[in-house]
Amino acid sequence: MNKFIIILFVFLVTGCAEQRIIDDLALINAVGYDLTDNEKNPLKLTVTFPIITKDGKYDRKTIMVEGKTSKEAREKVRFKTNYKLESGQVRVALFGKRLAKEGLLPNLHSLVRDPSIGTRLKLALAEDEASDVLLLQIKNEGQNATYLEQFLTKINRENFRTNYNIYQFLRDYYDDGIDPILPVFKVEKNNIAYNGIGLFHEDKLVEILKPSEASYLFLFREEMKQGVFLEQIDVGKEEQASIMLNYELKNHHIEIPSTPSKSKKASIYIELIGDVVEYTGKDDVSDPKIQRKIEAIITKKINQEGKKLIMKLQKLQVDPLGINRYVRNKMNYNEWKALDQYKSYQDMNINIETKVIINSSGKWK
Amino acid sequence: MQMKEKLSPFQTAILVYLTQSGVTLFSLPRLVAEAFGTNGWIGLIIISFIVNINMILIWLVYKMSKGKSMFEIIAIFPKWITFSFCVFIAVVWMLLGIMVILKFSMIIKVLFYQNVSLIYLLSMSYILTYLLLKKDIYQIAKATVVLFYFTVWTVFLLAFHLPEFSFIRLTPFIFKGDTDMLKGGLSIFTALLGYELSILYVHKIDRKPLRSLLVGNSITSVIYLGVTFVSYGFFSFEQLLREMYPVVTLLGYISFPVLERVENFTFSVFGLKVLMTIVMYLWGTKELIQYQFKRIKTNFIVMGILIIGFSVSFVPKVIKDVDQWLTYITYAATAIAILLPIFLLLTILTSKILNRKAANE
Amino acid sequence: MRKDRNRLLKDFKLQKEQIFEKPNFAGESILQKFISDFKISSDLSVTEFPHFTVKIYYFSYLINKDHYEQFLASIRNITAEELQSFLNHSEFKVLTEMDSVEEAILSGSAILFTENQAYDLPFKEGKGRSISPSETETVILGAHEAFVESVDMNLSLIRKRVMSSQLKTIKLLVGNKAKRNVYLLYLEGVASEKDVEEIKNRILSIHNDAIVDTNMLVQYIDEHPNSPFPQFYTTERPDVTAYKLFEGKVVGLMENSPFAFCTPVSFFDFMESMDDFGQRWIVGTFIKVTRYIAILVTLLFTALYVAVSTYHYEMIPQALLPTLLESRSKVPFPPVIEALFLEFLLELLREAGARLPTKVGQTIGIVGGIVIGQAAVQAGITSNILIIVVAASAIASFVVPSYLLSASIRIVRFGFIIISGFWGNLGIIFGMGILIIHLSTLTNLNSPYLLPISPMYPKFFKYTMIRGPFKKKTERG
Repeated sequence: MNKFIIILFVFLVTGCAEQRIIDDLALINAVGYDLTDNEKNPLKLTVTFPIITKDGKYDRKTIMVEGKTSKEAREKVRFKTNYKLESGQVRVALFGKRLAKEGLLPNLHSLVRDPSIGTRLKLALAEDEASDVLLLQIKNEGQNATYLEQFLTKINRENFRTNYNIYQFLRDYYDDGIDPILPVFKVEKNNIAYNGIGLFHEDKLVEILKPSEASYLFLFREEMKQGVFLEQIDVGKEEQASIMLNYELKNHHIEIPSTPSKSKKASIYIELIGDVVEYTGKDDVSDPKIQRKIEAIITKKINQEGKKLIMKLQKLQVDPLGINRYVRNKMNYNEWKALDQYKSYQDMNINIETKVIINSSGKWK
Repeated sequence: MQMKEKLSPFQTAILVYLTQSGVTLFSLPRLVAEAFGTNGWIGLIIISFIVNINMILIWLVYKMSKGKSMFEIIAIFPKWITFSFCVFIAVVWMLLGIMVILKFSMIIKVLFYQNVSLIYLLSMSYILTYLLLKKDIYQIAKATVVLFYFTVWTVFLLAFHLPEFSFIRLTPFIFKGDTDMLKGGLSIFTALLGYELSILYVHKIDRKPLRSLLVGNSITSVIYLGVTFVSYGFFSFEQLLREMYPVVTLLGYISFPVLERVENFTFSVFGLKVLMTIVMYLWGTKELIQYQFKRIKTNFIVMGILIIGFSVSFVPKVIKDVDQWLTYITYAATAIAILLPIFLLLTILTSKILNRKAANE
Repeated sequence: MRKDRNRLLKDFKLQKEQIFEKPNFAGESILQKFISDFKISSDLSVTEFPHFTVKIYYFSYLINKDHYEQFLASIRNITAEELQSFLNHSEFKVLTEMDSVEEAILSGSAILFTENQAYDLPFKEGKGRSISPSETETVILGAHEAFVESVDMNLSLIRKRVMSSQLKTIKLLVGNKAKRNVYLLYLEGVASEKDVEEIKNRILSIHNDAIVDTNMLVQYIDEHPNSPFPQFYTTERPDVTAYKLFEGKVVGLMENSPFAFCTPVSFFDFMESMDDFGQRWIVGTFIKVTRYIAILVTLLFTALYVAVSTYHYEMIPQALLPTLLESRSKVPFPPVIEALFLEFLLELLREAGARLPTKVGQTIGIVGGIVIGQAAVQAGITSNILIIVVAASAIASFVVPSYLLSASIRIVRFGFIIISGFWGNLGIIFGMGILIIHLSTLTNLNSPYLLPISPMYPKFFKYTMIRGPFKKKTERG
């Protein structure tokens, strides 16, 4: 009987899984999708992967092709490299603005369907063309993909908690009470820079928020725990000062009063505790009185700007704050299914209630 | 010496758990979502409760028959009845075991080893199965405990998903959406199958048989519940319905500083769990066949089962076929799981009444 | 057949040409037999006395000359008549069987043959290696004595540590022709009588003369001779032996072997060092856990490298990828060949280091370190990362306290590397499955190899898996 096992064992060893030795592979680390005017091949695919040059240096190669679908274009890329093309190391997928306006879902589906692509694949938008961002050769910066990935991780860590990976994007896409958002990058002066947040209605890009507006958006998103608040405020008559707060989001909740009336109301409560890092006004910020004054000014500012932003979101019919989820959780199932979500969202009266507490004025009086 | 060996309660619990937890786990959250809709994880508790009742039935068989084995109970029937009875159960169990191997091998092929012939993957599992199957139940139980330790840590990987977990996503709706309570519920019930094999070894348990069986089922249920619950808060409901293998996606989301995308490693580790399901089902088959053909050497029976299994594995061609087969077989296995203890109970009762009558006369 | 007859004939001829003159007294039968047994033994010495018919046979290098001279001096002064009463009143044992005569003379006694009797004169020489610190099981805290080749000395080392009348010893003779003493020791009431009986029967059923060491002996009596794993725990430390005795184990000592074996033991006994007990229990537990991690590292680290770099490139984090790619880019072989090559080289180095005298051994380390470390990388035969991986797993393998287990694990590791070269992670898990099944079905003296884990006895975890705190009351496992 043991002989039988040995024979089977030998048989096993004769077989072997398909080898993918890392140095024989083109490990794509970023892909870019764009729409072109070409009727026949409407999709432009840009891939970039690291190579080791003959003198042992770590370098990259970028290939751009046009094709009908993403997988067809990928087949074309295969003919353009001597390495075996593998997409298991894809870190970033960039989408051009035009493509994003048409809808991301078909491309996203082909990404999640592929078992070799991980669920932590980060997504981002390019202000113009994704290929521009990926083709850009920044001196001494190395891989664009690594640069973008680090950038995205940093953005996420600092204060802009975005729906940045494919799992999170799809999760919010499929959740009927929230809309996904994605960070936008653009090429400027031989550099890749963050340039705001793209708002999605379902899977279609509708608007790009400027970074200054976007920072208010993140104030109202629940996942954010701390951040930096930087704003010009009116301190006295005709007098402006710039203030910077390192804040901690102490409390955040969205309340929907459960009234049976048609027009819904919603209130967003946030509570910030912050340390003054910069203040250009003449007043002494360590004085509790002044602090209270500044607190009041900031609160007003946030309420004002926030209201403006939310009105805009409502007009665009995008709900990146997930207010509809709270609406849903207040209703029963049939009511919710019967509701025209975006219509009711548009008509909703959304209040912002902010509480700002200044904790200290730093280590200087 | 060998005869006196007993299964300790702990071993029994582990054995039950590892037999239960099988290949369905990978798609379980989706199945639950399909069957029960929103907040379907509550449904799992109900199903686990039904399983507990079923286990109590098995325990009753043990209790009423005063520690007799199943074979001793059915020995009162004529030979041809027991023969067809045993062979039917054996075939169902064998097919179930084989289809579980096949399904797992096919999933692993689709996900990680696209270009590998299925024969290799199958022979790997059959080698491991053979190594365990040629031993008796005590040895299997011993290996089971080590395999348990080797695989149980994967449960703690769920902690990695807590940052993405959100209660809001759970929604307040209970069992809403396109639900298919009966059929879906049955398919989830089959995910907990495997405990019915305990009817073959319940008399070999050292002490506290009922408690160890229930503990075994509780381990499975808690793990299933944990995975499903986390999935409900991790994925949005519609997304969950679209994930083919949500648990694989969960595993893929884990990232360590030195290694990431460990899903193919952990998935293979899960393979050892699935292995125990197979081994136990084929062990059940072996016991039944051995009872019918006492003269044949155990090793030949084992070889026979494995060779038949290996050949049957090539009948269904794609995962869809296997799923189809699995559906029917698990229905049969479910029927066996519920009816067998009831049938044995009735047998014991009638034989008792008959005996009493005979004694009175 | 023919050969046998020829030999018999030759024997017969030799008997005719006795080298000893034929004695003519009544004790003839036993002496005669003795003489015929030891016929061609030129190293056998004999002392004869002019005034009485007494012969003393002995091996001059086995007995203590001084004691013997003293004895001779005392016996020379007595007359033939007094001799009998002298012998009767003396403490010398009368030997009646030829077997016991043979055993006595071979173990260092002189045999005195009178007219009809044989006396055992125990002038055993205690020569041999003196007690020295253990070489194979070094400890930092704890006793440094190690067993020596003399079994008497070893017994005394144990007796000194286990001062109890409960310590029982059974003397067994092993082998067909060349008999060899094996002592079984156990604590009565602590060790299981069944175990003692079982091990006794096993030892007695050995019919092989070529057993010269304890480590050989245990391979004749284990249940799974084809397993790569050691099943009997052998040690050269008397303190470990004493500890095992208190744990209720049966200990075996063999003549001329500085090793004792203990049984029944489990895998976790091999993971223990006396140092663990000297440390505070928190430290001891930490060290023990480190060892388990070390075993995993030894078994899987290189295999994982092979699997990841051959099949599962997606598992490499972004930050690690450039380093790995750069170091692999010059290597012409697939990772599995690269890894096997380096592992094999390392095994060669280790073996060479073990065989060579200590002074030369150091040069091996230098040559190996420089040649393998620097030159191989620069020549592009291996990658930097692999060297780190292999070195780490080699170091980890030396953490295992038992030399036997460490060697077994290193062998098993090769299996893992090969299978991971063929099947990647799936292969590793497959190998792990086989290993687990194998280990959990191993037994030592009918006791499961992975005892406190499977079958499960959580009560004993703190004695085996970790090093739990001591209790004031003694408990026995």
